[in-house]
Amino acid sequence: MATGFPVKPLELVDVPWHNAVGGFRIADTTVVGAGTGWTFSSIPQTFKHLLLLWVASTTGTADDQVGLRINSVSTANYHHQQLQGLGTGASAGEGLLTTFGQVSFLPGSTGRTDAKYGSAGVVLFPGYSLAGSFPTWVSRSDFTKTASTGGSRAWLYGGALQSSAQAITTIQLFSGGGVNITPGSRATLYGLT
Amino acid sequence: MPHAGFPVADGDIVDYKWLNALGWRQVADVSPNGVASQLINLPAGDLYQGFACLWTARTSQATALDFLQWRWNGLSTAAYYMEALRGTGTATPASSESLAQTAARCGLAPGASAHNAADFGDGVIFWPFVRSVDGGYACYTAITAAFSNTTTGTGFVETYGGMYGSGGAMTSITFLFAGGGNFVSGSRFTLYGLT
Repeated sequence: MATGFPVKPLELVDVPWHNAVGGFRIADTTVVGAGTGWTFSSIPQTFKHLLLLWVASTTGTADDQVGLRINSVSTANYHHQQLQGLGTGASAGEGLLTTFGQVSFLPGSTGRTDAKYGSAGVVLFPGYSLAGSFPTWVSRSDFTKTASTGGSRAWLYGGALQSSAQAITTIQLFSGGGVNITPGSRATLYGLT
Repeated sequence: MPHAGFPVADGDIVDYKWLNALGWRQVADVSPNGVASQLINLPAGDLYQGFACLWTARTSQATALDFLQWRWNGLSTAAYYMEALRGTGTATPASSESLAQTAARCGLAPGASAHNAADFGDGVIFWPFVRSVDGGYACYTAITAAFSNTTTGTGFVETYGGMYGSGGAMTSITFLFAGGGNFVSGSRFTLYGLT
């Protein structure tokens, strides 16, 4: 029996669905060939918030940043703050006046004990359509490089594009080092009503 | 652009099972402006397993940053408990706790002393398995980020866990700033019921 909603099985309801259903998938893209990331453009401005889920790994040898750009802006106006858990220690880091934001890292093949190890994360863009504020995001992500102590990391990220106030219409998620993402990596963008 | 991924159109009649399948349902979407608190009444009855709120906000107070707080049913009794973990600049992460407070900290928002009027804070708060008819404690978990300038140490991320420890049925959630400032235009809270 389905619970949690006040109608009976097989009962038909008229759905004021813009408000009723919470979220919609805007785009879902899996990497199938050579490519350094994803671009979500022409994002509808009809939602309240955006949610981006991703899982990825890198073809490169070195650990690589997962970069984020808003509206294709590449001027040095991005600011990010991170909180990292690594093994049994914690640290904080920041990026000031950079040309792209950051939401995570991908584990490179050097020292990676299993090619299946990668990273995953969720990025939220609350109030993304507000034209009077700087675009911002808050994100949680993790990566695993080995199955031993110190082989995994967890992050909380926040970031902003502090060039000019603008609504978010394009989101790019990509390898900060310009290295190809492994085929099978996937990113899905949702709009929350 | 059509809403890809959901195969119905505006005005369609659909079987209710869609609604249970979809997980999140918007309860309220409010944009406070020029007020010191924002009340969101919850629907009566056993509709949801819990709640989530995505928000963006800024305070009118003359401060670089202030704490966003929430209250259960508007109550200001000293029964809110919170643990926080903060990252800023390259400083060693700091944890802190607040015991028996009159509201629970759940976010960071820039104020009038931030470097630009377009600085806003944002975040998400979850109250899992807090139903309107249950009573009991209201546990929550949240993440937030805010930036008040472009210089080192002016960006912050925080994660929280805590609860309201006096029980009772949950009928409303109120948001307010610790420093008493007003919400600035552009602030927005969207509350979702989790089915």
